[in-house]
Amino acid sequence: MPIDWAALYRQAESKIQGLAEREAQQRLAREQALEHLRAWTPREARETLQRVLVAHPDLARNVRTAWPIEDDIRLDQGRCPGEDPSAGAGEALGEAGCPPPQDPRVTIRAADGSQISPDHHAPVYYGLVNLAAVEMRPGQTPAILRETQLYTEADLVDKENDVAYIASMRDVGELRLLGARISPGQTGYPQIGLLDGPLEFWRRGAGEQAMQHLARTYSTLLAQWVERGMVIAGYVDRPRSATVVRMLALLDMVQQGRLSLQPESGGPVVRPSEVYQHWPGLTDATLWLTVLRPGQRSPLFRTWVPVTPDPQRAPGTHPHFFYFRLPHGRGLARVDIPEAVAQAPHQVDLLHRALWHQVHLIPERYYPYVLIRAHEEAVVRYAEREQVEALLLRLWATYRREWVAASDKARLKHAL
Amino acid sequence: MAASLLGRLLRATLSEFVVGTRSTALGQGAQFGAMVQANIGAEADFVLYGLIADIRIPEDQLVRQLSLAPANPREVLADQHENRIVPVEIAVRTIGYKTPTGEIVYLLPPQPPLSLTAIRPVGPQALLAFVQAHPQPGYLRALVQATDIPLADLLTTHLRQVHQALPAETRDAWLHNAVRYLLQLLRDDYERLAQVLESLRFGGLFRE
Repeated sequence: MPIDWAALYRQAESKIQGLAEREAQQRLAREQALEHLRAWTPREARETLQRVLVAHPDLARNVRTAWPIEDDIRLDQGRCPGEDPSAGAGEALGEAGCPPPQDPRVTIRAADGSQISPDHHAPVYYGLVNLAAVEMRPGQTPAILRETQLYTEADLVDKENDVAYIASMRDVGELRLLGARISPGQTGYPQIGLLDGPLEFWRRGAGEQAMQHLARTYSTLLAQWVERGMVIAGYVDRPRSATVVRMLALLDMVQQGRLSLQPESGGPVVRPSEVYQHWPGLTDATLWLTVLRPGQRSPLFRTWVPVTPDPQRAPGTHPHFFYFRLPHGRGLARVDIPEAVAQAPHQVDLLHRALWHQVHLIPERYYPYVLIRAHEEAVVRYAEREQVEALLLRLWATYRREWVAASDKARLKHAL
Repeated sequence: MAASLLGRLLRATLSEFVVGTRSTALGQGAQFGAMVQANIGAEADFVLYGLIADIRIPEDQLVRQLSLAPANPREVLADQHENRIVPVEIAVRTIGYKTPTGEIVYLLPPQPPLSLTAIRPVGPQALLAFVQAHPQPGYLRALVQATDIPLADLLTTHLRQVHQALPAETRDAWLHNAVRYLLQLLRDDYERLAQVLESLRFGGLFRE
């Protein structure tokens, strides 16, 4: 079906013209949010927000937000790797940001995964998860651990959402590989574990029994690695979350008198949607790009997760995060960490220093080297996918003595 | 005992073939001018011989980006050399073959080796057996006839290797014979002949 180019042109012209007005609104929203970032102390912001959530259960159940946990760093301030918070404000940082990285002398391991999702229209119905972990130790050749797992119809028949199941198996596998033994013995260096993406388990198809089991497995693994002393983190590139923005929105509403801090005060009711639409389109990244210099991290935040208390969440694993400014205009990353790491300032600083070092290993890219390598080792390329399918077809024909073909829909798609 | 594996065949014609291997294999007989062997077909005794005419390390995006760093830590270099599946390509020029009956033939083979055929370095005994199989080193024609190889340096490097492998009492005579043969092959190509002679001189094969 050919595209209606006339209609497309009219739509594109209208939307692009509308961007200028939207940008003006966002600039205003950003300035309003930054005012609050500058005005509130961490303690005031935290205590006020906690009172709001207590006083307004509907907001507590439906608004994902966060509050700062460090009282020795202002909300509109950043911190360089290795910076001594007790040293007081030193010289203002220039545009270049924090000093060049030093090798932090840590063992840093990254795990990543790739999958082939089940396709009901393919000749053979299967799923595949390919995992890899890359561990860098000072002075040694990095070690690589790989794992491939095939899922056939027998493994997937009772899963309501097989595509989500495969994706979740990948997530669990990545976390498991983060703590698996690659080479014997302790390294003697502090150990950092890095995942590419959020640290929280994304509950696809939350009600399903299989997914519940995977969520518990994930939580158990996270607790194990935390217990082992691993500084574990999820690295989120180009974050689009607005968790801190919503904190500032709630504080703004309190200041405006729209939100009472007293439970059941009979005052104005704010719907969760109003919090989300208070500054539409404004993200945390927009704020921190203004505040942070390259290399700096934001204050630490504890996430408020708007669901009923999670009995599966093990101690020390509650999600926290900070933002990390990358060099040379590369934007920001959000770094998710469990509570146990967030409560250990030396571990946070170690992680910060390690990331600052890692992103400098590949100039012009400024992405952690170890994550790039883990992705490279895990990714299933299209050519490999075809080879997997060819192998399965051959085995199917050999052992079942029958030939299978793709569905008519799949064949039509390929023909086009 | 089979010689160590150099790599496996990526692609081939009758006159040349390309071997894929890891960068860590470069120290194991993968040297410019070295002789290598591969089986033709399924028979273990049907052996193709060639000389390494080029070694290529293809560029990839990550390596290009890493090259911009003021310094690459040891761990990153080790990772690139030993872990990454970035094949090194070794281009080999065919120079002859050995039949199952043991006859060494200085001609193009009847067929090229198959994909993924193991390519192994040739040991000194097999090298000398090949180069001394006939009164004249006719296999050098294959190199002279090629147009896309560094002929002068390849000939010189190969002749040096053979010279060093031969017993002291026969090496000079063999070298003298090989150079006379080359002079005959290149007598109508003055430019290439001059390059070869100059290269032989720099290769230390001419006594002053």
